[in-house]
Amino acid sequence: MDLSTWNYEASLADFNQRLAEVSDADLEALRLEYLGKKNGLCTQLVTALRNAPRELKPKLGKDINLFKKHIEQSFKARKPAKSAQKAHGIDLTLPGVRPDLGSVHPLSMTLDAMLDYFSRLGYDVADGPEIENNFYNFEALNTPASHPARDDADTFYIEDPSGDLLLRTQTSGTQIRYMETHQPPFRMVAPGKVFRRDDDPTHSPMFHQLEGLVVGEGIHFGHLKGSLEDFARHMFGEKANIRLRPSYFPFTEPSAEVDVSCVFCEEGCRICGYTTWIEILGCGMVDPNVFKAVGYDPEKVTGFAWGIGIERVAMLKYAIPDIRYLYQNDRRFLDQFKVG
Amino acid sequence: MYFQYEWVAQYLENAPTLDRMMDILNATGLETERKGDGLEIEHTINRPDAMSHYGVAREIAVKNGSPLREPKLFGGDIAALEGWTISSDDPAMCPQYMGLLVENVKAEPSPQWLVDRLTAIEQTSHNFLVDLTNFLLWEFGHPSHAFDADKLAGNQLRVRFAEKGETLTTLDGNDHKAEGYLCIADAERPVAFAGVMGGANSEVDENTTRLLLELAAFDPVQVRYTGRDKQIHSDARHRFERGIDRENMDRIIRRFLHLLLEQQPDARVIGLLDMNVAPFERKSLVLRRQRLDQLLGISLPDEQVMELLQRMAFRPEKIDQGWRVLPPGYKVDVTREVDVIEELIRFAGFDLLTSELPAMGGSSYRPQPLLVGERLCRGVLVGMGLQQAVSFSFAPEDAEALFAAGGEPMRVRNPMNIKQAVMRRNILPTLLACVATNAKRGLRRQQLFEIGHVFDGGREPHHLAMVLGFDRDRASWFEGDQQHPFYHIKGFVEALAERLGLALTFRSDVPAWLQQGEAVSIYLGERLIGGMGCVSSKIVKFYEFDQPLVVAELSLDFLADHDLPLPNVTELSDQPAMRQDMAFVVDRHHEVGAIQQHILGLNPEFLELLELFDVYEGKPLEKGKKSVGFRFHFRAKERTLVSEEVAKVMETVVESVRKTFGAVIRI
Ligand SMILES: [Zn+2]
Repeated sequence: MDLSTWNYEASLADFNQRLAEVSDADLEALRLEYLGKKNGLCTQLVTALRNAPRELKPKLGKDINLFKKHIEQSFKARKPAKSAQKAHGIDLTLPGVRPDLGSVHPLSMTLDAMLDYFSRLGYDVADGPEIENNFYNFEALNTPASHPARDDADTFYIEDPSGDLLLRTQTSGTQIRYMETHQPPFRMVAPGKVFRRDDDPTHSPMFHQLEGLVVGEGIHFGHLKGSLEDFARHMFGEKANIRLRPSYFPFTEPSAEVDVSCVFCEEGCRICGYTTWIEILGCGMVDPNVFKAVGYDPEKVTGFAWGIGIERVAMLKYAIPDIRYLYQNDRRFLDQFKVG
Repeated sequence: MYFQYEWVAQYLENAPTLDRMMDILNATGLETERKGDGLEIEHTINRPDAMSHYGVAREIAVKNGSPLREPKLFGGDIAALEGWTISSDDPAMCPQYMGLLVENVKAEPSPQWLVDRLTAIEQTSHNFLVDLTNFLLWEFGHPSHAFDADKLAGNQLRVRFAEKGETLTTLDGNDHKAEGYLCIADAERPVAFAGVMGGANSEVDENTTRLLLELAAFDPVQVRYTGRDKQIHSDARHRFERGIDRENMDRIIRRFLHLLLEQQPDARVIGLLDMNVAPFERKSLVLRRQRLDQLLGISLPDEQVMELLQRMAFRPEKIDQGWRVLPPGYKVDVTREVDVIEELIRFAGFDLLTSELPAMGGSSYRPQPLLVGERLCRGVLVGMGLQQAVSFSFAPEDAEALFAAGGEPMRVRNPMNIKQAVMRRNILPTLLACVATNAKRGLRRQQLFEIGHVFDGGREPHHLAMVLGFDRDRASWFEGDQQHPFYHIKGFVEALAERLGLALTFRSDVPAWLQQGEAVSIYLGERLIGGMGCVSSKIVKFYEFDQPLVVAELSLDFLADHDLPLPNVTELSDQPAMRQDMAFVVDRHHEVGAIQQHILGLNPEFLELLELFDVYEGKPLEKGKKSVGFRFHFRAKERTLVSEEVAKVMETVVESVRKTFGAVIRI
């Protein structure tokens, strides 16, 4: 072996090419040619190094060492490919050992998309109790005891001596609490569970709502319309349009129902009832009586409020056929939300 | 509520087509669908004015600015009724009661036109007299009632609350205790629930010749209470509890007479007694231009405002500030300035509004530690492969009680079924029900968590619950899973605690819902915040679990005042580490945690990390012994350690462990 003609780069390139071309049958022969203990090239190189000129030894030693390591690694890496076909090897088509993928509940996914939008716009997020009293759920919201919306048929009541406790039918009570502790101007949203005595494929006795409230001087109906339009485009895409229809809620006046243009069709489909519009939320200008209940001057400040059902949006977005799927936590259902 | 197109159209000049009518009504806020030859309208609570064919026509007339065709009325004189008394104990309960007495009437079959009208809106025809009152209800929206005057005792009617022992059999044949409910009574007994339903005792029948027609106004709240308690959902109740048009009552009497005499010209109008103890007066309201613009954000031109107010019969008068208006009797929900504004924009149309975003100073967003912390928890758990669940806040009483430490849950007074009878004090009762259902469907392997409110007296703590369900039959489970399930749930809790920067401690005394010896209580400082491990055998039995299962439930309320850890980077040493493995053989009753704590408590010099790498029992160890293997990582900051230094430290450690735990070094 003559080290004066040996060149690290050339020799390595030569090896790489031969390894790439060698069949599995000839692999062992190639290995012996390079790594054989007695006559392998590496052994020869190490032997030759002893007789090399002293001044060349450090560089040559380093090169040879690297060369040998590379060759050893290369054979190791090549080995599985060869032995995969043997009985003791591994089957590359078997599934990998992998950690589980978790999943976020579709209601959270939907709510997060909304909360992210509103908090980026500077809306505060408030949480409130699910068991409310008559004042926060009804009276402060301009819904006196004589109001038909107070019928037992809709509201779950809690057994207690005062007879005053109930499961909130809307998250608006959280907004009343917020107004009691904050001064305008502000904008806020209140997400949470709400309860109504209803149970069928599109209604659940417990469901989720997000309600929004913006209060300040100079807030008018046009701001409500613009805000909801922008929100609808965030949730349903840039092409989404909204349509307002007059409606009635005890705590807003004027009030409106809001339809969003159907995201599934252009000329009408089953989901939109062949109308091209999907009813999605209720809204209005805050009733002066609500402001009075929290000690704001309704002559000075105005505001708008809206409420949206999270289930409805989630069901539309993910084509969920039955609202009950959302609370059964069937693993086959949850597994479908590992994507996205 | 269903309306016949042709019937509505008869009150309109140039009536629009059915489809056009539908669009107009939808635009004004009456949610309308086409159904056959008519309109199905879903009224909001504030719209009794449109719960009649005339009312629907009026809505269209106002929107279109076209005139109404008024129905024909009786134009003759009506005498005052003598020899009868009508009274109201409380004017607030019944401010007005008109009693019209007509003799020589016949309860004969109705003429075809009337039968057709009622049939078209799915009403049953009874006899002409009753059908007429029903027709009037559907024409004008004001319920009236026909008494057989011969069945009324003492020529008197009194609106009063029924007294103790009084009863009433209503027209639908049901018997009711009447005490405390607003009734119409003759000289002897109640003959009708005011505004809800008449009594069988004074009903018009085929022998009736003398008719007393009631047209009255009742307190909506009383009507609602009677109807709700007696579970009577009549058309009359539906309208009275929303409000009726006091200004239209004279006209309805004349309309009734017109229709009656047209069919039965021999009927004798004896007289009308109009008890009116609180006459209706229009309330004057001021609509300010400034307020109108402030709320709508646009300025409707003066002429348009005036035009719309006139169309709605508000009798507007221009004043300096804006307008003075007198809303008509049919606008029962217009009592304030803001109500007038709503009516204006309703008919002007929301399309006129601008669409803009409010310009509002700085952000209102103030991150709330509890909400931020919860979302962080969720992210961590999902990242570790858990799936988020949502289950009901109410639970079955028996399941809920299994997890509570005594006391009473809050109960739902009117649950829809017994599975929703109490408010949960823990999440696990409802979450495990889902887990059990999954298992019965063959989906045993589950990794679920839920975050939500629970209910504890007047408080609503936020809780986190986790469940790991195992499926030992699964063929290809990987190796790590051969560990006791307890270690899995503990791992999740420990990882979460690390992420949140919590120094949790675990104690072996557990509440009854956890299995002693296979579960621990979780403490944050001295505060008990939850538990984890295997559930009690009682719970296993209750849910019929046939698989290994571990759970955790902890209160997250501490997040409200917990500062999430801020990473604080320490300098990284370039010096090599020295590793030393050491296995101690001790009696098996010694807890590994205690040995580990002991070693760390010695604070060995240069020790950077102590890892547990092996716990082993069995041959060749003696029975009752176990081997606990630790890997010690040593490093000095500024220099390379020499093995003598490490050996010296190890010597101290080994000696101390030997003394404290009777440990022997395993070689
Ligand atoms: Zn569609």
